[in-house]
Amino acid sequence: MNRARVLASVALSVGVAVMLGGAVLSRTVPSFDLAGDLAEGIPRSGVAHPITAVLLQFRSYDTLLEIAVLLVAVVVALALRDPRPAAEAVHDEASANTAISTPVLASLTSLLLPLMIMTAVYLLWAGAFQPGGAFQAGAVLAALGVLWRVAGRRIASFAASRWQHVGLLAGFTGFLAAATAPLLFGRPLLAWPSSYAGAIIVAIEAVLTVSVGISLLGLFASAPEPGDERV
Amino acid sequence: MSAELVYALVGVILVAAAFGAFMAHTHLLRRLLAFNIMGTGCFLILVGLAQHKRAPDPVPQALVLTGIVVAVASTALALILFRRWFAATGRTALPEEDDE
Amino acid sequence: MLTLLFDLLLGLGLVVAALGALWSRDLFRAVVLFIVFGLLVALAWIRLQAPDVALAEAAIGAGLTGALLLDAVGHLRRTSRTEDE
Repeated sequence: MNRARVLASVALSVGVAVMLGGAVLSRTVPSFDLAGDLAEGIPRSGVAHPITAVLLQFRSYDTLLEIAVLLVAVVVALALRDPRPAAEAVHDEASANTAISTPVLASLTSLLLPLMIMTAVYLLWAGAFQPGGAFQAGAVLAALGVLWRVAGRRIASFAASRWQHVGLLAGFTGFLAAATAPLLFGRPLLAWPSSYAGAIIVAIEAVLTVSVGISLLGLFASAPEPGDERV
Repeated sequence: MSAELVYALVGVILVAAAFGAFMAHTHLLRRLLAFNIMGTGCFLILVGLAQHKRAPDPVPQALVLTGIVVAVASTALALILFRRWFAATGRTALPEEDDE
Repeated sequence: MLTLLFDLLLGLGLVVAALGALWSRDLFRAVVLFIVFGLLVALAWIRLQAPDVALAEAAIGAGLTGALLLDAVGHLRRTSRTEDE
């Protein structure tokens, strides 16, 4: 790479470091105490864990938009996917080459399937009162799906099917429905009554887990296999 | 100098270094790596600065959690676009960069 | 005092792993160092009293992003190798 580019990059890098470092070191201490205000609001929120309360009660609008972003990314990924039907793509010789098939991996994935599903459900449920929650549980489900794919097993009927689409959409539409339901009762968006808030949050987290898991798996699985390069 | 400030300054170094690497490289995968490291540096600054000499604060932590998920979604999409670009043209850099 | 030393060492490890990921000559090595970087950042989140973020970073940031990048690098290698034949 040419010298001028390297020099310019180093200069920019040093400049950014100096500016940011100066800003970080000379910060002004904010006068409000967000953590304290949050601790006072936790009993109203329906969950005991502060992070879950922030994600799904106090800043639930951000989480709704985040799920929308994830859904858009997955839809674009699926749109750019191999257009051949799933059954034909599975038996492609080239895609079989990318799978690792050793007996240890095959038996390990069989053993891990129920364990990881159980772990995901536990993480989801535990998120109400200790570290955990929908995103961590969804990540475990996605990891299970990635392991399954790498071991060479495909759920051929699942790949381009209605169930996958339902799973992808369930999280966002469920969350959106729960978000707009208070509007029917004269309350603002996402303003759930405190007595129902805990149950609504658990239900939303459950569909979110499934949706996030399928979305992350879909993002991994939509990458082109060596056999299907089409220009 | 508390622990949180150390991590905030580490975040500053990561952002600066990754920004420099982003500018210097033309290979799209390396740029993607730099982009991800810059994002992680920003998250470290966000949480480190908020919790410097104060109690652990759930709000920036929740924002970072959201940020991690959005970062992986955009990285995955960028990789799919890169692989389509590579399949279509056989090159790993954008055309205006190939003059070098 | 000892914990501050640990934080400084972890910070140094983060910077070294990141520089390796950004400037390694071999792309595969760069991605592996990126995964290492992600796991060290998960440790940093623990030190910052953020266990939820640590879980998510280890699973999504290091794990899933690492798997995606390794997949892409492997694909790049396979395709360029078949072109040489």
